[in-house]
Amino acid sequence: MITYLRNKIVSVDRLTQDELTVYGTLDDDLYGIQLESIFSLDTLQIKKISGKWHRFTTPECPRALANLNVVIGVKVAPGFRHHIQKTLGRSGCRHFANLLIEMGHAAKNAKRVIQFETEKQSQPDLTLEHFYANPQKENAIISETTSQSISIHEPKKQSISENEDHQVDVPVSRKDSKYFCMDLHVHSTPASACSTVRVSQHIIDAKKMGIQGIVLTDHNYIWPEEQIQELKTRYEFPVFCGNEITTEHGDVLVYGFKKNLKGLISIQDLRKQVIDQGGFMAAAHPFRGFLLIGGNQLSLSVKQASRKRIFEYVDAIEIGNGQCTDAENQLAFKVAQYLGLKGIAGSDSHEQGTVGHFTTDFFEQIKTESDLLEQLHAGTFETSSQR
Amino acid sequence: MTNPSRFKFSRNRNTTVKNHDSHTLSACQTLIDTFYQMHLTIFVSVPELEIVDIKAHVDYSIDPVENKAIKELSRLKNFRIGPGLRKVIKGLVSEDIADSQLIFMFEEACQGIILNLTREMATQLPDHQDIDVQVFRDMVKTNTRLYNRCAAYSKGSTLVEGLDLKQEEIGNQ
Repeated sequence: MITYLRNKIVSVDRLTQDELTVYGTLDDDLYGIQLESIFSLDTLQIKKISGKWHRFTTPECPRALANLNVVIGVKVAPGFRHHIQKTLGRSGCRHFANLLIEMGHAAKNAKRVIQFETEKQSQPDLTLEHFYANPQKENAIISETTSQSISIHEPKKQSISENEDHQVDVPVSRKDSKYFCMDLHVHSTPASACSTVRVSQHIIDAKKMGIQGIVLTDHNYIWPEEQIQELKTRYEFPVFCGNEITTEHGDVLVYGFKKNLKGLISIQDLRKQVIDQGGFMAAAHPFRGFLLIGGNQLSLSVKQASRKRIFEYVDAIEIGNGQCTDAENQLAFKVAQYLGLKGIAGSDSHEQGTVGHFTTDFFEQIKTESDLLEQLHAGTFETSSQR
Repeated sequence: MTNPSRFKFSRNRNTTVKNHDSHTLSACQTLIDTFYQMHLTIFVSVPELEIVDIKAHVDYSIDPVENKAIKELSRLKNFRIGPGLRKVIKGLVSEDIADSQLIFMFEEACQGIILNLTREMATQLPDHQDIDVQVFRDMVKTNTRLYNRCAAYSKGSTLVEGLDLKQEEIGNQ
């Protein structure tokens, strides 16, 4: 029996010489949406958009209509999909965004059809296949008609430096001062595009929280050793460089591994390289979002959850993550217990004031990265939550 | 009478999900438009949500990249459906096919599996007109990542009214 059905239909008319009118319908068991948009033919820029709901899941879904205009002016160019998802998808509705992306691609294809029709007037034997397969010819037409095409502007990445002076407050002590409490999962800007907090602010906040150290785990980014040393000296605070690396089986927190990897790496390759350097690996937030998309309802047992392949290649599991729900962290904890793996914790802080919400509490002081690795491998730590 | 020459392009995309057997869901995506006619089916183990098999067929494609993409689909086997779908898929396949229609169809089929589960959850609730707003508030409280993810769960919405959700407490995904 079919348990879910979605239809998307998009069509494009050229109602005026310079514009394409694109109609889109998305209809499934949960959502019914209609959008109509006008794109300029030359630059494929969205000039106008309107929409209508037929079916939705919450009483506040209709609010998304008021935010459709955030896409006015956006062009179908490299980055179009990402931009629509981050703007309309977030401030409006991701299903609106999904449909509009489809409409943008349809507008682009309609433009190709128009270019083909134009070309065919001078070459009656030209087929669509031949036209498409001849990129030189097509590009010539496209460059002629989109000479003013502008891509979506990405914000310029700032250089990573920590030159601001900050007032450092007196640390407040934690309940269990016998431990050396460290946040092993911290993201900072601009090293992590998703973070809004500079590392200096993290350190100030960590001190306020009574945390004794942090590990910067910016996405696929290795902090230069001299910058780490400068931070340590300036703030008289233990700061170390880790990394959060994306593999085909999920994100992995890595400590004591200094290779600057870009893109996706296979979990087996990463494991081999980290072992070669004597590093330590932990599966980051292994069940984040999983329970939200139906894990609860699927009655995922601990045994079933423990079958994730990532667990075969790590030394530990992140059982406390500040971005996860209690249920997600609880499942990670149970899986770590079931598999006999160590459990670490970190805030996964991206926003100010969240550092230290989860910590890994070492039995002995951590002065150097060697100390950190030694205690991680030895398993001489516990975890705690201040959330 | 409408001038048929004004009509330039049409696309139909259809996703269906069904129970293949007691431990497997299948999601089938069909794309038909002026340039393509293609089908793709993924088979997903339950409850692990792991892709156990992928079948695809290109009836017609104007772009030869799809014929290359179909050969690389097997790389997506054993992939687990969950957060960060796009990032992992892009990393698993060659760069030159990452933006192909077949890879997009694969992503859409995965989304179909997720939406199928959402639908199952929704069927357990009464019609939304009858649902107490508190049900949605409880959802956001349990999973703060919902906050600011869409218009329904952002500031000004009754679904987050009265909830103590400071922006700085809500992290990125």
